[in-house]
Amino acid sequence: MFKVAIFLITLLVPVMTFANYAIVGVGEAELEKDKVVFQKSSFPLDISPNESDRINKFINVFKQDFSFYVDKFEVLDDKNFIKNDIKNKSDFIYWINKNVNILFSFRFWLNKTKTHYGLSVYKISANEKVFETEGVIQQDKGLIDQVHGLADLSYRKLTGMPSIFKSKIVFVTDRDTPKSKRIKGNIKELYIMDFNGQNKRRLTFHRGLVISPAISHDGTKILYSLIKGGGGLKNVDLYMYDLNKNSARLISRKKGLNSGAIFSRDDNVIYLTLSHVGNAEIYAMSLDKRRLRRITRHYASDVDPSLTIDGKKMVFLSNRAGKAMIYTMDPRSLEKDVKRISYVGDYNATPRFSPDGQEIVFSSWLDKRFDLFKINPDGTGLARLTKNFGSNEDPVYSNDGEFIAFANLMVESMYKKKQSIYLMTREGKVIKNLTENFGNCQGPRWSRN
Amino acid sequence: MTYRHEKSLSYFTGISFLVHILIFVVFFLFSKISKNQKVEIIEVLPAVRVDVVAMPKLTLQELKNIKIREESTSPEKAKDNGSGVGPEYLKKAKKRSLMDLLKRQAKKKVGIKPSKVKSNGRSSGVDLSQLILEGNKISKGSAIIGTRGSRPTTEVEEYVSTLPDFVRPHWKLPSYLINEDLNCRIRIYLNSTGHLIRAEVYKSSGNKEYDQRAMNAINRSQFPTPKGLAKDLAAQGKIVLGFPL
Repeated sequence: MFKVAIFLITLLVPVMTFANYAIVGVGEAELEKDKVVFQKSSFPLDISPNESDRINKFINVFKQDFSFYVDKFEVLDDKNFIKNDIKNKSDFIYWINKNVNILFSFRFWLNKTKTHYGLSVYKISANEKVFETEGVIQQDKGLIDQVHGLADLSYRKLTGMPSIFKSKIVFVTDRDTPKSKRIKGNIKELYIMDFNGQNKRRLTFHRGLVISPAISHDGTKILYSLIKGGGGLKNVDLYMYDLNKNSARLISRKKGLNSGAIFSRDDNVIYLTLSHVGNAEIYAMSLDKRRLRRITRHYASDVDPSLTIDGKKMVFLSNRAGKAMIYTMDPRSLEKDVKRISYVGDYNATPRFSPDGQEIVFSSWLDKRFDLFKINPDGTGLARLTKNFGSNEDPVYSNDGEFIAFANLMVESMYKKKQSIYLMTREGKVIKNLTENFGNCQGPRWSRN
Repeated sequence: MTYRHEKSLSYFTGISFLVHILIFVVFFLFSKISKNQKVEIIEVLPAVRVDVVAMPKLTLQELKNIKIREESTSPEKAKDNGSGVGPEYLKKAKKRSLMDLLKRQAKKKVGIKPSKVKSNGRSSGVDLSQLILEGNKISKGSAIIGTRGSRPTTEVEEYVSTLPDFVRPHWKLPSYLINEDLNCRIRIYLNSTGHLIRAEVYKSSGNKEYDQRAMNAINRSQFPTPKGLAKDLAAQGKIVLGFPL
């Protein structure tokens, strides 16, 4: 019987081995574009041409907003579909058969002197109405903001994520430089615009050189540096513009550099580069008492800080290695956990964290121009974003992390160059020039909401 | 002596019969128990060794758009066996994933290439060697990403680790699901030619649409021919695909 038992055990061993499961991960899914239709399901008949234009503008702005998400949505022409509003479950079938994933159904009607709108958003694949709202269409000036707000609300309901539709971009341009001085390009003023390049508005009138703006998390203040004055060595002073008061005030005028400033998450502290000790170092400064706390201490220059949202990690540029390389550190203490993350590139510049803290976008000098690259905070995942598209600098992520705005320089001749703010996806697909024919623009910074 | 010999033969025949009955019972019981038992899992994780030697020359968009000629891969791909069940892969050039390219390039020696004899002065298509450009160069390096590599790979692991490349092109989610933190696992049964016989949800994500999309990705995939132990594992439905892990 002992022999029989041994025989049985010998047989069971391979059987138990086969009881193992081999599990392998397929990986993250690719995003499937949602096919989207915007339809006017009802439209008032007795309406003036002006009012008709206003309604069309209402829908077009809404549609254009969603068109920016080229990797997420494929906007289909509503003319290819018959009007088919969804009143009950069986009405979904028409749209399912047309492979439409999302339907925006607009209704318009007149009530006394006002034009009203109604919007229903349907997720066709899930057979559900996601969102419904009604309101009065605002007059011309408020209409754009109203539509951006409505598009943002719809996007949030659909995806559970914030959109870029209500966000703003600040930048500087030399368009106010008199033609006689344009070659020198010594006047650059601060401007603000919507995410799509619309509603550009001039903010400063220094008649000096404004550089490196940064917008606060609550969207009410903008930090920027100003180079102004006569001949000789010019100081780089730090100012803060209040969008509610429409005025600027001086924040720091220490000897040398007062630049590259950014806000902390609570907007009460700023991180900036100062060189009053003789060498460019990064400091934290409280805005109420202007108290300084040193963050970097090295004989090399440390500049261009960018923080994660939680403020626990900072990326900056330093020439500690002999040339400009990217480093990360914990900005809560002096020289804490400093780690070099870039080892290639002749000259790297302007590293910026994505809002989720998962990526850093930066520019690097390659083939006699700057191009944009991104890298993970641990130094892995180096990837190129731009190529053969002029010189590209000053990248910044959008508030939702889906886009990158950057300054693109196209040199047409020895005396003619054009610098514009462009928008591209996080993966490097260029979408739009936001500052066409608006002087030489640079330094884009995206608001956080 | 003859009597004793006959007695001995019937005795051993009886023992043999009992042993077979016992084996059958043990197998039956084991299969019942193993269904409810927590089984040991071999997780197959891909790893690739990459040295960054310069800034990348190709952009992300360019890398995505590169179409690579099909190369002979191991394990061998299925041929039509005439039964009408086995898929034919050999004639179809497939768009490979970037990770797949990197993995295969990592196996190649990177050095000074011998000068090629030009046949007619024209390139015969997009070649893999085009990927070995500065910044995309891969060699034996000191840093390793992933947890595989410390132990030798088995036949099963080698086969199973190739499967994601066949499923990934079909694994797509809409915007409203892609940011959800969901995970499901699908158990697949493959025949000896790699043809999918059956697929069932091993662990649900809790979201029906997510599970269905994972199932759709598997149903649209064509798998390579399993060999050796991998063939038994595939036939017994002991290969589980995780979406995403």
